[in-house]
Amino acid sequence: MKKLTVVLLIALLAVSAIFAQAGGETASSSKATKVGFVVINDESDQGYTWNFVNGMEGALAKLKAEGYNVELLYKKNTTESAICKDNNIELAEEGCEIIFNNSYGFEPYMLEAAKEYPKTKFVGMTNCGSQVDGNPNTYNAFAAIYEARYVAGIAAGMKLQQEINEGKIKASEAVMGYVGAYSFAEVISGMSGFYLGAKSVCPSVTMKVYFVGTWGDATLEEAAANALIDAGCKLISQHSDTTSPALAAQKAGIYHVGYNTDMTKVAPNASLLSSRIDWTRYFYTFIKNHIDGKENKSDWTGTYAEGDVTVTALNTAIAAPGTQDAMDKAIKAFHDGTLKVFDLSKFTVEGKKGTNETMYDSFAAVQGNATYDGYFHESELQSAPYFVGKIDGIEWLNAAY
Amino acid sequence: MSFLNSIILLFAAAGAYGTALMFGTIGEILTEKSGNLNLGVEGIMYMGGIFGLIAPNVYEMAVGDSASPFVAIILAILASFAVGAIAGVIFSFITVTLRANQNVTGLAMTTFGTGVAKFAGELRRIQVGGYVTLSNKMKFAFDKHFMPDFLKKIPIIGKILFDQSEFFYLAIITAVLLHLFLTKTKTGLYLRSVGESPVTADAAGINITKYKYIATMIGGGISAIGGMVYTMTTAGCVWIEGSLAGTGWLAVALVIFCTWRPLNGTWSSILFGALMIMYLRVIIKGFPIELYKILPYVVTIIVLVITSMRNIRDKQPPASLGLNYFREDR
Repeated sequence: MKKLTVVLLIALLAVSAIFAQAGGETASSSKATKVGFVVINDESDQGYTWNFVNGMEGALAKLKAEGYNVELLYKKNTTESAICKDNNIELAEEGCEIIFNNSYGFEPYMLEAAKEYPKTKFVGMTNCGSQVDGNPNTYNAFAAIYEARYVAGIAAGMKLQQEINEGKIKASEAVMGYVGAYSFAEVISGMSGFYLGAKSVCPSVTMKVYFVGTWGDATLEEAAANALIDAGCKLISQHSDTTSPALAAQKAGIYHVGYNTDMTKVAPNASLLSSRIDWTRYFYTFIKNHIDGKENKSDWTGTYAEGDVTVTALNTAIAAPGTQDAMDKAIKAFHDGTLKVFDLSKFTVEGKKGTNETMYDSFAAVQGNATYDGYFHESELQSAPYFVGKIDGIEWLNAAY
Repeated sequence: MSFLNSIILLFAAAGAYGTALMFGTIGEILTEKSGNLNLGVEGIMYMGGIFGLIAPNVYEMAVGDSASPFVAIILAILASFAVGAIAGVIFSFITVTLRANQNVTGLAMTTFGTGVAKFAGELRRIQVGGYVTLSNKMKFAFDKHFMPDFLKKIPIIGKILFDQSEFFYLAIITAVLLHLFLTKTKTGLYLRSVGESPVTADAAGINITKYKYIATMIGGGISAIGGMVYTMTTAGCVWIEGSLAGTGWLAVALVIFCTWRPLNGTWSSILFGALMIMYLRVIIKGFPIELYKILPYVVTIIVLVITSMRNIRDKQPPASLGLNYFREDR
């Protein structure tokens, strides 16, 4: 027994020595760092996390070409639970100087770890707490995806207008269906941008929305898409993670606009294009600034003009003629700064002109006035969306929180 | 849209997911009739879901445009059945031959099957460099609502019964055949006796081991077809990792819900499918979707309570369900 205890103690000592070494390890060269990435699911989702992983890999390739040496450690398949805190702590203990988190629900757990490791930088992507949490080592990032959705909406609107012009549907039948995840600002802002984009080229268009109550569930997303199709929708779009709405649209012989990833390969007869965030520039800039000893913004918003949000290649085999030109015009206007998605003259909220009270999310971390100069300033006070106006023309069939 | 119309559309839409559940349930009924409680249905359906897609995917990539949809469908059925059957054999080997605990083995089978499926799916995703899927020609063949229009247009039942994929009818045929097998054939009677009282069956000279192995093997195969049907219809011939989560457990719950009767398995699967998506079809103002989403489970609990309270003899599980048979125990 004594012998066994001694052996066990020696083993324990040996193991702790290894861990101590790992914890104390720091980047050796001056142009090097260690980065951690806590992700929900993994790249096999071919959508949400896949898009993040692609952005990270693109950024690291770019940094490598410039002589920066970045070691990356993943914590994949992290759930929105205490596991997330553990994973953040483990990465900090491993010597990561920056830890990115890619899901909204990670933030509370990330913040707990951030307090314990004040020298490590913690980034909550798609989140909003950094400006108000009082921690100097926390950061947020999001991108103006509503701009990309506006551009994608143009492709949808052009298609419906073509069908009206060709007499295939009546003007009043130009109804789009939207499969939303939750009735949160992120989804509402995006779907409103999409709708306004479509309306800019197809004035008679309306939209019905189902919130499925999950970010990704193929069964329920398909069910929601089919329910929308049965309710008369002629085009389906989505703010949810799987391809099943695209396939439901294809089965019904109607059209589709996707999210996160190009879905034209799975539904070539239906999918026109997708909108997506390109995280490459953010990862690249943040890590580079960190290594160079420069400050990073605590709250960062990517824009269309900077290439942080974009749309995938248009499926020209099915898109209406002139779609690319119409989209390019809008994209150019985003670059010039002349196009504002939430232009107050272009929509009404419950029959009236939108006001800050009817459009600003009262649950947003940062509160303030975003309604001036004739438009709603989305993603300017904080990167995470806060537009929650119920725009006329969009019918909510349910709500999910 | 009238209320009746939305109910009809609800049940018609429930057919696709209901079909996947039907196969899962019918397979598990056969397994449980032999006294084997295989809780690995979740893992088995997962494996069926990916291998049922990989087989036609490999075939289509090898043959190209001339690939025949009929061959692809047969391959999908065979491949999914085969993985399910292998899982059934592994389960039987561990529980019947090695006499390990059935609950533990079943749970391990769930973990194992889910892991194998996710691994295979990811491997294939990397091999093809993107979505594991089939061409549009195949997609339409796998979810062909082939019944003639005049049948689909029959009021009320037309859309529910005739606007469905080929697998819906295959599932119903399987259920009817299993019902006939269990109630009308001598082999079926023997199988039931193995599940009810292996001691008696053994004394009558029935080979318990053989019956348990074969029933669990075929049962596993049928359940796995359910996974394939899910991938090919609901998920639209695309591998979406994680999408099948929970389906196998629903099938296990359904076996109880339909009181181990294959014919009950048909309508109850559709009912479960309908309860799952009811919140998108029949909207009651002020009724939160969280409550909608627990409906299938609430209904299962109610059925469990009622059947156990009334203690109806023919609505009970096979008497030796979950118990291993030791001849020496007699």
